[in-house]
Amino acid sequence: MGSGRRPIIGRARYFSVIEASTVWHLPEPGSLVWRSFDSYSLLFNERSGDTHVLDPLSREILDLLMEAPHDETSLVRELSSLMEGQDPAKLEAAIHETLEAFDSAGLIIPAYFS
Amino acid sequence: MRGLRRGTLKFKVGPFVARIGTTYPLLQQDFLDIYEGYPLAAPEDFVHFNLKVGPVSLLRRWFRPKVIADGGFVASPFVPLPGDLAILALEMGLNWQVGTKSDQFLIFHSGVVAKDFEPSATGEVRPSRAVLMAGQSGAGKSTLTAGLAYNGWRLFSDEFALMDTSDLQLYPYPRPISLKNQSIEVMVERLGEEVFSRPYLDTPKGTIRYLKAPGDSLRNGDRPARLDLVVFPEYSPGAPAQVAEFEGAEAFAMLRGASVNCDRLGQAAFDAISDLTGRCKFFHLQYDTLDMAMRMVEDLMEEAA
Repeated sequence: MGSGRRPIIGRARYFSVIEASTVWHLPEPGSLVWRSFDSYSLLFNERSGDTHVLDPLSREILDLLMEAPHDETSLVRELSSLMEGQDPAKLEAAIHETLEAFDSAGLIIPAYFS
Repeated sequence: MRGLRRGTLKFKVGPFVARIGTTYPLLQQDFLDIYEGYPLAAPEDFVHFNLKVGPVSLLRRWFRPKVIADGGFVASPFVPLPGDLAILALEMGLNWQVGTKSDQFLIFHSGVVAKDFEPSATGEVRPSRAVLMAGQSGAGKSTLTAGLAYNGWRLFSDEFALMDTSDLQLYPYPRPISLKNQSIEVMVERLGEEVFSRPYLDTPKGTIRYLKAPGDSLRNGDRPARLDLVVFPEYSPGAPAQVAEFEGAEAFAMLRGASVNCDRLGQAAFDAISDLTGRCKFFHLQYDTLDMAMRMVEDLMEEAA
């Protein structure tokens, strides 16, 4: 709960116009505590004290962002290859929506703040 | 209990010691009635909660009496109540203090009862097994808790489940059970008048009567239990009985939603609720009569063994 955390999230929110070109980054992945039940994952974020329930797609997105920063386009490309047979438009919309949710939950920030 | 006649009384309830202060004779009388049999605390015992209940002003002690609980908060969260309902002010004050100042426990807003077992022939002691009943206000959890507590189960609480996150044991907190409106008639018919307080009319929740905690729950007030079963009862008059099991992330979310202080406990609460999700059985119960709900809980506990 460092004193510098809140301004970073505040700025991220201020600039959080979700564009395909925004490169997203997951800060301090070590602060995330995971549990899995069936296909769902439970996530406790030590930084915020919040708990999240993630469906398989959300978990995949967060895993990819943990590996390296990604923009929306590269996430769509990687996940399309992982989830063959998915309607591309629906997948793209779901990824966009998930990034928005992660951003507003403070789980991810644009990479230029890192 | 003569201490209360002098204005204060320290008594034990589960893992807590509470000091009650009031000079209001009607409240003293009501308190001694529903808390009959509770163990008194020794003078040197640490006091977890201090609660005073008194008139809102000198005038209101005598003229159309109005009382308010005082838990030592700078900005009181309590509302004044008519003098006749002073015991409600005390009960709500105690609940508030437990819910906001007991973070040594992970607290769930729920009823809890447990099954105790006799030691086996070899002297092996089986741990008591608890069922936690959570749900919205009016779902019938107090009535179900009361029914089970007087039918072979030990009362832990009809308000709060207190869990130690280090060993996931539930600790008893056997307070009088607050029954409201139609459930009063159901339980008076079963148990008779003598285990009930007088009726409190026109409360914010309608008519309330307090059901005294059974003697064995007071005698075993320090005996914990293992949580095995979590149910979300729903009283649905005229509807068929239904039992629906749920698990995984849904069970986690439902149990977390019943917690009062998981946000304050952080990861300890997350770990505990995750572990319970993997270990306990979770059911939604729809029931029409108390007997039906009690049978369901008995059967499900057998199944959860």
